[in-house]
Amino acid sequence: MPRRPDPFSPRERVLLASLTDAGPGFYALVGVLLAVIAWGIIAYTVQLRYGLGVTGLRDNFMWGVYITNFVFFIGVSHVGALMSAILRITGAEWRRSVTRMAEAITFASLLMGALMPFVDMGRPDRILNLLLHGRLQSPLLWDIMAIATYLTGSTLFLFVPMIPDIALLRDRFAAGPAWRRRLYTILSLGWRGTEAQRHHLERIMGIMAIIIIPIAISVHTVVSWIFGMTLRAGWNSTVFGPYFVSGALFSGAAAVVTAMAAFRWAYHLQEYITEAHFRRMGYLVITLGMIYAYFTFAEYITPAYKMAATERGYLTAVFSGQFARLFWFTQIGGVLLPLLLLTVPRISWVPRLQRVLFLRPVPALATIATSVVVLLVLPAVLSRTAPLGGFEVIRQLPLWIIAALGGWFFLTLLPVFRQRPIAAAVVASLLVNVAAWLKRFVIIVPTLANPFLPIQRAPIGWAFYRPTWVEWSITAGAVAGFVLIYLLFSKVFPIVSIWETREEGHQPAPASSPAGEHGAVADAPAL
Amino acid sequence: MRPLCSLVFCGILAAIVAALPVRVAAAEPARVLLRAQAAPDGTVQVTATVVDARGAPVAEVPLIFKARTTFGWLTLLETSTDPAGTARTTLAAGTTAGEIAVEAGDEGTMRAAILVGERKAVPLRIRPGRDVLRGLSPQPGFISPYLVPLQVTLLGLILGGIWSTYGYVVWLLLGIRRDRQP
Repeated sequence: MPRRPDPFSPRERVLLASLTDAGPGFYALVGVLLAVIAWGIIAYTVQLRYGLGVTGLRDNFMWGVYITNFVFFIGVSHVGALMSAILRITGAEWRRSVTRMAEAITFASLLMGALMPFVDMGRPDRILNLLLHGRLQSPLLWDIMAIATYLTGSTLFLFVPMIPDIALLRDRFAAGPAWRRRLYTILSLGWRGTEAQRHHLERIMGIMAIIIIPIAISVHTVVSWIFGMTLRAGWNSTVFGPYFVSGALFSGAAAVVTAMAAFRWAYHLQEYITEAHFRRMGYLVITLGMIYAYFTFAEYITPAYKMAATERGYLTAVFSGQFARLFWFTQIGGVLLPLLLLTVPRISWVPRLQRVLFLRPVPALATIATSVVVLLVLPAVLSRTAPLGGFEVIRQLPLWIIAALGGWFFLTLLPVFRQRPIAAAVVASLLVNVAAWLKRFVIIVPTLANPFLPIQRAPIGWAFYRPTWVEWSITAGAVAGFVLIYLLFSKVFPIVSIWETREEGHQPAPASSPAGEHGAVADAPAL
Repeated sequence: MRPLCSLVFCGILAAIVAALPVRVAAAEPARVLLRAQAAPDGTVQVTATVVDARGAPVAEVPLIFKARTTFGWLTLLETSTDPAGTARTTLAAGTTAGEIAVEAGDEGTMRAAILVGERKAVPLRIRPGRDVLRGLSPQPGFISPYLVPLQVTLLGLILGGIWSTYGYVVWLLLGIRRDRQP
C-alpha cells in the first residue's frame, strides 16, 4: 500500500506543530485550566445566588478585585494591536514572528476583561439597562462603547493577516477533520493569492494598522476616565490617561515576552523566535518601563508635594501605611528590578563577577539559603527563640540588611542571566505582570478606603476591603480562561505567521502537498 | 346639716386624694418637628422639637441630625432633647442648599426632613436650556441629566467614523472573496 505523502513541508511542520502535536502535557494543562475555570464558575454561582455579600465588596468598596482584573486584562490587551500596528507601519522586519502572538493576546485578554464588569454586577440580569437607560454623559457608557469598538477592531486586525495562512491550512488539512475544513474554508474567504486579492489585503492591513492605534490608545484612556472623572483622592488626576496607557503597554509587552518564551519552549520554535527577538522585545520593555516609571513619578509627586488635607490619608496609606508593601513591591519589584534584569547583565564587566568567590552562584546561593533558613525557619521551630520574639526578630531587621541581601542575590545571578538572556527576559516579564496586577489593585482600593466623607454607621468590617475566596476563585478562573483561549487559538491557527516569516528570509522547503505549491501565499504582500 | 357634712367630708376626701403622691406615666414621643432659621451671619440654625400625641414636648429623646449629600446621608449631630423637648444644630455659613433630616427615638422611628438654603424656582419647559442646566450642574457640558447636543455630535462623529471604516474593511474583505478567480 503506497504511503500517503506528508502534506506539510518541514518548515510548515515546525510552524504548525501547535496544531498537529498534542502530547500528554497539553491535555494535562487543558485539564488543569478547565478545573480552575469550573471552580471559578462554582464561585460565581454562589455569588449569583447569595449576592455580592459573599464578596469583600461593600458600600464604600464597590470596586475591588474584579475591577482590578478588568483594568489589568484591558491593559494587557493593548500591546497586541498597538505594538503590531506600530511595527507594521514602521516596517520592522523582526516583528513577523511575534505579531500574531501579540494580537492573539489582545483578543484573549479583551474577552476576559470585558467579562469582568458583568461579574462585578450584583444583578447581571439588569445588564441591558446599561444600554437602555445608560447616560451618554457617563464614562461608564463611553467605556462600553470603546471596548466594543476595540474588540471588533482588534478581531479584524487579528483576522486579516491570518487569511493567507488560513488558506494554507485549508489546503493542508484537506484530508483533516470536517470541522477544520469547514472552518478554514469559510475563514479563508476563497484566498488564492490573486493580484486583486493581494491588493485588497494590502489595503485592509494598511487601514487597520493606522486606525487601530488611536482606538487602542483611546480605550485605555477611557478606562482611566472611569476613575479620573471622579473627585476622589488618588483618582482626580489629569495624567491618568497617559499613565494608564503607558502601564498597559508595559505590562502587555511583558505578556508577549512570556508567551514567546512559552511557545518557543513548547513547540521548539527556536529558529523563528530567536534570542534577537527577545533582545528587541527587551528594548521595547525597557523603553516602555521607563516611560511608565516617569508617569508614575509624575502621578504621585504632584499630590505628595502639596499633601492636601483631603489626600493625606490616601497618600499615607499608599506610601507608608496599609498599602505600602504592595505599592513599593510594584515599584521596586515590578519596574526597577525588571529594568535592571534587562539591562545590567549586558554590561561588559558582568562575567568578571564570577571571579569573586562570594559572588559565584553556588557559594552565594548556599549562603543566602542558609541565611533564609536561619532567619525564617529556626525562630518558628525552636522554642528557645521565643524569648527573642520568634518572627519579631526578622521584623526588627533593619531594611538595609534585607536590601543588602537582595543586592547580593542580584549580583550573584547577573552572570547567570548574561548567559541566559531569555531566562532574564522571562523573569523580568513575569515580575512586570504580577506587579501590574497589584498596581491596579493599589490604584483602586486605597482610594475607596479613604473617601472624603467618613465611613459612618457601617459595621467595622466594612471599612476594610479583604477579597474573599469567591473573588479569588473567579479571578483564578479568569486567568485560566485567558490562558485556555490563547491555547485553543494556537491549536486552531498558527501562532507564528507562516507567510510573513517566509518573506522574512526563511526559505520555504518544497511542499509535497496534493494541493501543490502554495506560492501564492508566499507572495502575499508584506506591510 | 347633713348635706353640709357630706360636702365637707367629700372636700376632705378630695384633699387627701389630691395630696397622695401620684405617678404619671411619661409621655411617649409621637412626632418630631423641624424648623430652620437663617441668621444674619449666614449660618442656619435647625431646631427639632419632639412632642407627644397631645402636642406636649418630650425631654431626653435621642435624636440624630443628618444631611443629604451626593454620597448619602452624613450624620451631623447625635444628641438628646432638652426639657423643652428641643435640640439644635447650626449649619455653617455657606453650606450648600440641601435636605436636613432628623431621626428621633431609640430606633429612629420618627423622622422629619426640611430643605435649607434657597432654591430658585425653575419654570417648566419641555427641554431645559443652558441656564437651567447651569443651575443643576457646575459643568453642564458633561455632568448633566440631559443629553448635550455637542457631546452627542462629538461621540457620533468619532464612533461613526470608526464604525464606517470597519464597514469599509468588511466590504474590502468581501472583495477578497469576490476576486478569488485569477
